[in-house]
Amino acid sequence: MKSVAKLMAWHWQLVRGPYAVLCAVYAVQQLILLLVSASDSQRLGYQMAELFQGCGQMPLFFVALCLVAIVAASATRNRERAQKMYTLYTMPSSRWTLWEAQFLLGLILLAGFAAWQVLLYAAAYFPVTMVLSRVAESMVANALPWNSLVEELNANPLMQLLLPVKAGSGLALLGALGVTALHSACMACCQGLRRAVVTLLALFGTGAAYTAFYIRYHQVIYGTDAPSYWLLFAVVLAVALGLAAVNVFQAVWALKRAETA
Amino acid sequence: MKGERKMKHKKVVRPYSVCLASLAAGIAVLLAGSVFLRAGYPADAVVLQVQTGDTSQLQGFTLQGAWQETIKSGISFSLENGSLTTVPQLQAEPDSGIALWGQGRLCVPEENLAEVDAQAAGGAFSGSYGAFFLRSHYEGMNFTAETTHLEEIYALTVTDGSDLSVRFSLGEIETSAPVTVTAEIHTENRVWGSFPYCTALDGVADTVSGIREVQILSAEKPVSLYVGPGNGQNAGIWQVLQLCTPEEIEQIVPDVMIHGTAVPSNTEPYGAVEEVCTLDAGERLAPCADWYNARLDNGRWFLTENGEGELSLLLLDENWQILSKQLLGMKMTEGQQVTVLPSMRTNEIVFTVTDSNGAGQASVLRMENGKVQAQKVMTVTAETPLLTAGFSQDGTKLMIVSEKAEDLTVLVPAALREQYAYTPMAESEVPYTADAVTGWNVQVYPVDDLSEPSFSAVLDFGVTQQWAREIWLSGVYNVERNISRFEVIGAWENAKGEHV
Repeated sequence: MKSVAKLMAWHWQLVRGPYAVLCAVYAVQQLILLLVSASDSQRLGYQMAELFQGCGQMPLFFVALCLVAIVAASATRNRERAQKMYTLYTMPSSRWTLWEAQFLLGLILLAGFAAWQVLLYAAAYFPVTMVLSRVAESMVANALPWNSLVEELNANPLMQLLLPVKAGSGLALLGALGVTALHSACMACCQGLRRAVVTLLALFGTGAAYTAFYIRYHQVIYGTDAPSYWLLFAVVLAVALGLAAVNVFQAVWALKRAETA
Repeated sequence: MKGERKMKHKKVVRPYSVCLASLAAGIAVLLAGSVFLRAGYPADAVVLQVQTGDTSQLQGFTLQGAWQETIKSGISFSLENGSLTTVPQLQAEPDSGIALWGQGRLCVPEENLAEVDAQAAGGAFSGSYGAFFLRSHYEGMNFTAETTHLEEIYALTVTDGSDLSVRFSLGEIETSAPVTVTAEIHTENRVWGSFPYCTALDGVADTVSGIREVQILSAEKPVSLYVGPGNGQNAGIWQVLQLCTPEEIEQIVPDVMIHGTAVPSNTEPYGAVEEVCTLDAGERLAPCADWYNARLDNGRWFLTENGEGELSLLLLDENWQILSKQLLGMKMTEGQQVTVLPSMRTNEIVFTVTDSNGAGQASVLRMENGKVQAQKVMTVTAETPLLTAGFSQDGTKLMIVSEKAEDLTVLVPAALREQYAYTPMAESEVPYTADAVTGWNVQVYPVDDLSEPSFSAVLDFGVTQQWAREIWLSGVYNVERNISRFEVIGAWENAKGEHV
């Protein structure tokens, strides 16, 4: 376990730069998108949670999660690592620790990113509400009341995923982060053409997993218990599990053959 | 030597401490957010403002309410023995009912089809729907004919996507004047499907007598229906025993021939229904839009009307079997409507009988072993609609809860109204006024004297009711928007809609 932690910490050291850049770019992108849509007079009467859903930031969050997975996997292709001349052969522990360390690293980076999104949302609440009320004030004489931050957190489906208050949504959060971290670890263990294939499958696999969670969310929220929804959920979940299995197999294969070396 | 010095002076990299710190920070943010969601909710969203009397008068009463802010969240409160507690409802569950769609039709019975088909006239029709590459065309033939012999068919479909359905006949009807019936045969792109000769109930309800009305009484399993009197049959309560899938329906329903084309029959019943309770001759269920709250601790209750306006209380057990029926000594007139209110106790019944403007009478009954133990009748006015009423635990006091409404006026710029509602305005600002429920009036009376309340208070909804915004938006779009408001939660369920 100690060797896994050491390796993970070393890889954290290697990817923290790109990770910080990704977080910063994401923050700027989100703030700009929210403020620009808040200043749109066609969205008069919108509040923060509606705006967040209306401007398309929600899918961008999941795209960014996939980017975090790729950043985490980039540790094994880092030039610094190559310079230090440590390879699968010279590693002081079993080669499987590479996969384990990358999985834990992915999980930590993804959890950090989820927390970053919550912070960003809370931070964006004040400027976005200010712009919304300025736009409204310029169009109407009387001031409109605005939702509090708690209400805005409560009304946003993404925040319901990230700040779970029920066991179901907690499991969904763990599942989403776990699947993404798993694909990230598989990516990290492969090299060359296999890595390209694994990355592509990882994008589809995480996409399918997120879609499965969304279908389940829809079922719970709208109380639909129709067999067609369950069938769709089962099919999408099967695709997600299948792609995850294929990627794990590829990673095992690559590690066995020491392709990563 | 050089290497040794370098090792000595180089800062030792201890990445895990940073890594673990960032992990801890991430988890801390997520946990803090969760705590903030629970603790930061405005607990003062509901405030009790006492006007006369003291809160000791509230001993023995429990009033529950909830406000569904969105489909996902809300707030609920309970005023129990004078103390008010507010609980956030995070990610509220939807109610457990099944989404149902019922449709009645008058169809030509199968044995008369050939005869009606022979005298039918018709022609081809075609059209299209959708746009661009999703554009689809449909075409077919439709025929119309006139007949006096029809069968009333009722179909009930679950609209959650499963399309489970039941269809049953309500008897054959001989009309005094001929009724126009239509059949459609879709040759390609069957959008709405082909059907043999029939007509919708809406168009003929005034001209054809004997049609039995159907009302959904309970959308929870087992689905229960009220089937009104007519066609020589007494009114009754029916239960759906079996719903069929679209595949089963396809197997069960035979084809009939319309102008030489096979079309699925629309009179063949499928699924199963059973009449669980039959009312007396001339008796019918009192007109009421929703019997959702008509429950007691040991079953359900309904109000029936005997044709002369006299109301009876019908008590049913959990299996919808009649327990007892008793005259209430109340009368309703033509055009009046019953509204079932959520009660504050599981052994109490609250309802109003009002005109279309909302004025009329209200009645509170306390039940014990299937008998009315106490009854209080009071008048209600259109200005302060009654929300609920109930006796205290010992039965010496009566609590009446009604809406406290205020007229709120906002000024809407005419330019904005023009932009959104396309109505040109002469003035620069248009005032828009709407009725806003800003709280509830809570009054407690001695049970034998309803002239002067011994306690009076206002449950005021503070911060979260966004009336100004909603009314202002109603003014902008010049349409009444559906504004969510606090609702009384009956004693038989909790704020999440679960049975307790």
